[in-house]
Amino acid sequence: MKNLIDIVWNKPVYQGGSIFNNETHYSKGSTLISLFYLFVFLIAFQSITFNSQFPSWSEIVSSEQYFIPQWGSLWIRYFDWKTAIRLIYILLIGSSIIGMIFWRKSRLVRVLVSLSLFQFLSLVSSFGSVDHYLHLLVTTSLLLIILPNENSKTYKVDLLKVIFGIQTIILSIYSISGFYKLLGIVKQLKWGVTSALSPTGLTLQSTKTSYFSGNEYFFQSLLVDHQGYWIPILHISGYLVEFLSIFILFRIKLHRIWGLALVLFHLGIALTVGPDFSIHLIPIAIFIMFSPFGSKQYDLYDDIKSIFRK
Amino acid sequence: MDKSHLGSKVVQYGVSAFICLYFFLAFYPKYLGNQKEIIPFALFNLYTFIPYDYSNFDLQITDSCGEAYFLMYKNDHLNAIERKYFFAWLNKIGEEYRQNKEVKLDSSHFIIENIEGKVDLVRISGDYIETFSTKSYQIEILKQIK
Repeated sequence: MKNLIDIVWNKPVYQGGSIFNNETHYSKGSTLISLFYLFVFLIAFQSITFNSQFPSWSEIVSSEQYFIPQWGSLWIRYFDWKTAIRLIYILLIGSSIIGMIFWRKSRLVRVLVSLSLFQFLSLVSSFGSVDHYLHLLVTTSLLLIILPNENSKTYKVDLLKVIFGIQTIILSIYSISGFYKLLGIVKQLKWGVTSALSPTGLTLQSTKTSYFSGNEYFFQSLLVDHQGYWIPILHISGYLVEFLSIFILFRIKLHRIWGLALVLFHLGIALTVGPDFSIHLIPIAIFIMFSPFGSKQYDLYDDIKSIFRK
Repeated sequence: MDKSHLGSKVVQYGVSAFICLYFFLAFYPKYLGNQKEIIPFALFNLYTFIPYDYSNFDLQITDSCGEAYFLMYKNDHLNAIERKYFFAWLNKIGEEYRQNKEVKLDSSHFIIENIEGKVDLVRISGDYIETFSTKSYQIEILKQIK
């Protein structure tokens, strides 16, 4: 097992050298983590405004009767409701500000950011159903706890290894999610019912979400009025982008283009089926689309051109 | 010998262990547990199947002026929390009805006691695309609650 782990960690190479021993990669990686903590602050900032996808804080404060705690928010029952809710918001905002400034200096700060994000996710998911839009952000923040403090001798290599770990978990999650969707097609074909291969598959998904949310999505009428085989092609392409994600983990050169594909995949979902996973785009864009590995610059156009270059 | 270029073993094994633990906790409820998602781990069951004909449970409320509306469907007055809660609650009631052909629900329930007017448990069924295009659906009254 120990050997297997060592082999996996020695595998990622770019232009003959390990991706973890590269000053340019380190400097980009460090900037990207700072950017991540900036976005955590922006999420915390949004949570107290009234124009975000989160339930507003005032709605939460007045919804004690609907509270069905997730395991992470069981403690709230033992405190005064309004005080506990305000405490979670203060913890989220306070830790995100400290995180932006001190994430390199102290692991405790990173633990605090992670804990507050988790508490917020637990809270908004404790009203009957789980909200999935914060999962990737919480997972990424949990992985960043493993990073040692800046004064560690091995800090630079460790930082890049943690980023590679984040990439691994994000790409694995997408691949497994894609796998279950493809498995869903096989099962539905076996049951003889409508599947994602049908010209109405995506339209049914879209109109179902609309039924429950009461919203009409940007391309929904187009899907309803112009059904045809272009729809399953689009639909299955999305599944494949998800499913094939893990296969680019060791193809360093493809990281950023795949990151762009995942961003476009979520854009496609928002335009057709509706669910808003824009917060997922933060870890995807930071750690995959602007991957610190494999390129000297941030220019995505140059990356795309390099695929066709020998 | 300076081995700093290799990085710390704690990070290498820590990240590997975290990834293994993540997927263990993600798959545990799916294959060994009660199908209930453990946050913040993914359950990988979102949008895996294409829905077809639907049959959803709702409450039909008829106010004193005879105007009828639903608790969930097309109710623009709900906030995000109410929408989430009622969705899960009606799903649970629907599940109970499907299994027992009866639901233990009366006017003393805290949601129902706050509603003014007549309340019926109904089943709304139809085809999602047709409902979206023509706003048509079938409605069946299952039980008068209040």
